Amino acid sequence: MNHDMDLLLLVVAVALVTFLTRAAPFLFFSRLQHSKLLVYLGDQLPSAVMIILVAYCLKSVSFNSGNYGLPELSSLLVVVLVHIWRRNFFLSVGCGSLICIFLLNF
Amino acid sequence: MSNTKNLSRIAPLTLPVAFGYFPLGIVFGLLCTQNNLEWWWPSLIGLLVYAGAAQFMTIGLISLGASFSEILSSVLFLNLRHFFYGLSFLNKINLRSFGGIYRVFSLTDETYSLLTSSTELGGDQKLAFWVSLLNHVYWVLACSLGGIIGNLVKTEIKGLDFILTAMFAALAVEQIIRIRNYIYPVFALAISVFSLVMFPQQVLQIALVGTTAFIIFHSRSSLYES
Repeated sequence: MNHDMDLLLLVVAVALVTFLTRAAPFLFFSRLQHSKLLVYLGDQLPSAVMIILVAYCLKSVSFNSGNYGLPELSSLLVVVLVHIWRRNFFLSVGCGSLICIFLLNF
Repeated sequence: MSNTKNLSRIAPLTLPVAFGYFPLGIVFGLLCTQNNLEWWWPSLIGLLVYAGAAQFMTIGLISLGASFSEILSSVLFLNLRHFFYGLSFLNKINLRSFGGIYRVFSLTDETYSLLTSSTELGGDQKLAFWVSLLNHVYWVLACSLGGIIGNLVKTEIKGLDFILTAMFAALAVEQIIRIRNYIYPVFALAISVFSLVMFPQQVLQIALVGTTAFIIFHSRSSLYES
């Protein structure tokens, strides 16, 4: 029961945060627009943040034993190359994921 | 025009979104059950959150043992790009109606692309509402299906959580191509690797705060020039 309540609380919080970021332009437009720094950060941060998140996702991968992280790293390379080539999320994420899943399960 | 006529007109237009949502949503449902969630959690999450990347991220971070605040701050940073989507619709959505609020709530990457690719859809409040609703329905159905299948078929598939990593990598490429600025991504990579090696428990905090501080200080002079 406790675990379920915790999870529900988290889901509601995540839902609110997501809704807030979608509603932000409508709610705070004037204030946001007038801060050069905020606009600049909002524009430049996402690229850096995505990279940080990729690194974070890989933190549980063992790079000095087992598969040495090769399935993940090579699949990541595929994702990056395919996305530069086609700029299609479903294609790049799909190809890279299928390769990684294949490498890890067989 | 009646609602059924509206629906039948726009339904075919939403098919590409359905094709993308179904595999992704089903995988999300599978991932949830793999993390020992009951079959109805993916449906609920898909209904309330309605954000693929954020949903995958939340489940991924939960399985990595992240804390409540780590997950929330990551989702916040992840969804920053949505700020720009709203700018295109500022004058076209009436926030004083339920329809308007729902349209803002359901403004996903795919709905955004669909509505901005057609002037007819983007401008018509009613049509845009039905498009947004249909896409949401596809998503909830897909997540539910994944949850149900995952509960029936109990084999574990390794590497499903890599989908999240792949998603971030694709988003990173997309953002870097958009801003054509490599200093911050390179710094972010350096500080992430550093934190991973030295302080693996605080990777997110150190890397996020450090990168934000770097951007602020690096751009200080040029931002206040004019």
